[in-house]
Amino acid sequence: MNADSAPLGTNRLYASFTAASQTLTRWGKRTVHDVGAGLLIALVIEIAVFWILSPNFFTFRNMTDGIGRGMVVIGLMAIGETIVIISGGFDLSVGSVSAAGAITAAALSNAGVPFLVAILGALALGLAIGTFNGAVTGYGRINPLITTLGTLSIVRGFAHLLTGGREQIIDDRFYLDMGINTTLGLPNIVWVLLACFAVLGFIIPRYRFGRYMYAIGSNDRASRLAGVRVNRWRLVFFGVSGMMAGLAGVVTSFRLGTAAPNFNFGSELAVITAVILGGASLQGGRGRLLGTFFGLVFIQILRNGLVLLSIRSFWQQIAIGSSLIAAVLYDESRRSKLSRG
Amino acid sequence: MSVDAAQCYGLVGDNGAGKSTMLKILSGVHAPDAGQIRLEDRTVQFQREIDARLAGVEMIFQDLALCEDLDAAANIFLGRERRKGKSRWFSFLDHARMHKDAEEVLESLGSVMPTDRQVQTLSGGERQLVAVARALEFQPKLLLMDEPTAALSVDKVAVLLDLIERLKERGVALILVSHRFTDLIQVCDNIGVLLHGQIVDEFAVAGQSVDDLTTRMVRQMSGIGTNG
Repeated sequence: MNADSAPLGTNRLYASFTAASQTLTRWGKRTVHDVGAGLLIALVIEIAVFWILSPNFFTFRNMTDGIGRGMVVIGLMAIGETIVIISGGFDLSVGSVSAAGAITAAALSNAGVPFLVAILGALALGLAIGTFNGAVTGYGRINPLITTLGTLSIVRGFAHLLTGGREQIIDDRFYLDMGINTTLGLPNIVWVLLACFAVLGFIIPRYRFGRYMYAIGSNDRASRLAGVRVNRWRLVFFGVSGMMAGLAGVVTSFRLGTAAPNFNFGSELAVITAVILGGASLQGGRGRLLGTFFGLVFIQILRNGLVLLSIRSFWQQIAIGSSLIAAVLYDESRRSKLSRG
Repeated sequence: MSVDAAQCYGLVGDNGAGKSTMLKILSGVHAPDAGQIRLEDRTVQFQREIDARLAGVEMIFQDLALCEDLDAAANIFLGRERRKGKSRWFSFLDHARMHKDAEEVLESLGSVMPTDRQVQTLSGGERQLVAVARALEFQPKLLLMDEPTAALSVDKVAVLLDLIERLKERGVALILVSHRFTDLIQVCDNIGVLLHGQIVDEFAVAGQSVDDLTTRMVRQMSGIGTNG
């Protein structure tokens, strides 16, 4: 109690220790609040189970490669999907758009264009398809499920047509280097994913982009009445989702050194499951990027753990589908508890 | 019909008489088939809601049109966020200032409530206050309110009617649509009765008894009386 009698150094050390632990507690509380205790508990149980069952699970190599590298492609698409779902939309086309992005970048790169321009080409194509999704959904007043189910099929069809269904091998060394190399112990592509989370995590609370994402998802009519250009912002949200999917396609090429029209076929399921597990509401207006990150980790550990245990891959599909339904049921029960007061 | 600054006009009518349609035309939601709107001696035409808002006409909808998942401050400043810096695309939202200004405007309405609570957790009266505060932030000349007391408990109605008096003191003109005659008689200077889209009767409230006024409104609404 008597601060003056204690030696100055100890006192200061103690003060900074208290401050640090308070900060940590605050962060911890915010994480639990943003992500939801349910998911965090499920994650701890999941990790414990795989740790016990598989000796290879809790190794540095499996953490960075099996889980880290494995979750990048799904994760990039999940970032865009989170934005679209919070804004009250839905994007089923991400898997197809990623394939289109991959073959665009590969074609540009093999035509001798510098890799950075090739990647920008893939992002631009994704942005264009996403904006189209937004325009049909907003101005055309079509349910986004239908709109993006349509583009899912259209884009995949074109990808097969334009490549003749064949895989392209990418000559540029940069691609394989990006896929194989690590920086500071983490694979480069994991840094790409973390950078995207960081950039959008910075933007969402600070710019109108984030504010309107929640407002439009919460009540699009009220937003329009308040003077928000709702349909224009929808173009932005779907556009960002398309762009992230395009980037996911390029990263798939980083990992494989090729580009193929069947890339990420059916990956929507894992993407949407990660987002919903992370607490984003299908009704829009609610969700957190941090939640999606943990949802993504959950899905990837599930996929990785089942592989380590040599369980047949069909069980992966069953497990992911089940977690999607469980997540929605959990969300629904929490919501009805909330509305009952 | 016409309403002066710092006056309140009450609009009554049976279901389907055209009260809501009238408000929607005045607030730019619908375009009028005929007739004209004059605001401060100028004829105005509203193509959409934002035109009406820029001209100084604000509407508070029956359902309040709030974003449930946003907090009170975010709702009050929705569409006109306070920002740090002038850049159209790159300036940050100024959260601190929005919360401070929101607190001020709510305080001027005689209420103290935390501005960082999500609107869905607020009571009916508090939500109404948020909607009024948002309308006031646009500094309206004319404020339209559709059934403002319908969703409120009795004591909250008194608070709202008090609020309307304050708005009149500020020089705001109000048009109120309500089924609750007693509320209208309490705060309105003039009352109009709407039947089949026409104003069939119009009268000043001052100096008449509540019973007489109520009888007159009911008779006119049902189309019985000519000069009750």
